[in-house]
Amino acid sequence: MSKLVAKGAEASLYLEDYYGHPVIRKHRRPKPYRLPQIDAKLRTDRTIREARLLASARHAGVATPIVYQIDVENATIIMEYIEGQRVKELIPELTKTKRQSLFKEIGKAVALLHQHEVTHGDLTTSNMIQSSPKVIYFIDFGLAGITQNIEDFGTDLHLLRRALLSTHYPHWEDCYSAFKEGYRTTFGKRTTDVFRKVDAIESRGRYITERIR
Amino acid sequence: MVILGIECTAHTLGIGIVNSEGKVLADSKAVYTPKEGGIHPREAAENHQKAAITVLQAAINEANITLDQLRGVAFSQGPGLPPALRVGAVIARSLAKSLNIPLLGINHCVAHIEQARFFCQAKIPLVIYLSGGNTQITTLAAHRYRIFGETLDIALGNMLDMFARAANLAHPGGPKVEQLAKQAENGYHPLPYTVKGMDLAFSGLLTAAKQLLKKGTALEDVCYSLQETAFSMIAEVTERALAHTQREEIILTGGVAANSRLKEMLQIVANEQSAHFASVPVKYAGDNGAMIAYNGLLLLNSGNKTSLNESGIQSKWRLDQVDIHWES
Repeated sequence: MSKLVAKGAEASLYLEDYYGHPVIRKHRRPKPYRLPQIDAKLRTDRTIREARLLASARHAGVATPIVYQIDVENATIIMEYIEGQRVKELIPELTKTKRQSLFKEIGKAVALLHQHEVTHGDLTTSNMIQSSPKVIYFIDFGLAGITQNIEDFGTDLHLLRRALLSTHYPHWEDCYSAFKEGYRTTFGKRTTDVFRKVDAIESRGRYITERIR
Repeated sequence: MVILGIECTAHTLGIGIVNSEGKVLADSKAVYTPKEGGIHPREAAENHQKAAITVLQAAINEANITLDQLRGVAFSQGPGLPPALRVGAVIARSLAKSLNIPLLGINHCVAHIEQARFFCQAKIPLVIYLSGGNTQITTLAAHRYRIFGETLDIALGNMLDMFARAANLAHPGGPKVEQLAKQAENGYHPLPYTVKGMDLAFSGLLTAAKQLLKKGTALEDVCYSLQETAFSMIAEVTERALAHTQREEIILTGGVAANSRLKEMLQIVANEQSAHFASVPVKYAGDNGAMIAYNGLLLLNSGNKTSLNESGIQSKWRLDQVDIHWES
């Protein structure tokens, strides 16, 4: 049994059976637009990175799929199948209160990652799956990293803020303020440094006037 | 109905005229080229000031109209270099006042995008806007261009220009880098590839490319490696944004849209995702007055104009702050 369940920009996801367990086989497809040298390096690096950091995130206490098997040569990872709903589709369906409690949980989870020196690198609502009201799985760690640098934590928050602004513009302020609240309760004292870094990153961009913070 | 548009944000003073169907009747320009180094804002402004009458006259002649046929004057209100913006604004205000016709303040970025959308006959495309000042991946939703990806430091065109200057190539550097890349013999040298979600960064890539040059790597090879790396980054975020937004069309605009290797890559991305790809005609890839005129037409047709009080320049006017009245 192998069923293509999603074809993302970077990878194809197949739902398969693995010794009696439903699993996802994630294959990073070769990209014909880029040179084979660039392509091979990116696909290999990201496959290894994703497998490693899915595990690191789990150690940090953040829900991620368990990695069962990795095939570097074919840029393929076999991992646990997570049942639930993507946060992207969930947001418009929720009440304001529910949305805010969801984003508070997301804030806590991202803070946990950062406390354990893990950055996600692509924090969009497509990469979060709610499996039960309090449990949010994080997926897609291909751009993740290990770091102690506040700048990298700030970048994670900036990316989430951008994703909310562009995709969830009617609700972005509710979501982002709840996220910040959750983040602060877990990350503690250095939170202010991270938030200040987000402002610094955004002010470096082109043509910034009075952007809403 | 004919509308005149004045583009004056950076190097180019452009004056264009369009009719009520958006057809370009005139597209006249004067381009300031710095003797050395990058653009000097005051010198650019002085240049535009001197060229203004000639460019205006040329546009009127080309369109074969008289001034009293104009039904609106559009100008680039921002974003851009303040001294240059002021020159354009002054010309526009004078014309509007003396002819007693509506003044139309236009966002330069929106104008590039709307012109590309017009020429590509695209409906609601994913827009890849790459120029000397901007690198943005955006699409229209609920009356605004929502930005999905953007550079975190310098623009792609700016990076190419800065590299070209370091390599002693004349301005504008992009076309020369493209030409040299085609003559590369020894292939690809690895360079830093920086993608963060749908955002990008180019300064590390620029530094590394300059270092390759210093080490004595053939200029052609560095140009090739630089282009391949930078454009792969663009293609990757394009593909990601396309999957994320579920758009069915991609359009490319801005000065870097003249690059054929970039277009080739984006065409492949489009094919992979079963989307349609089109690029603004090379003639209109760079800054031009016709795009301002066309956007002025859209603004006027949607029942809007800019009062004298609101006509101050907005040098940091962001794309996502503009209400797109003419689209749902």
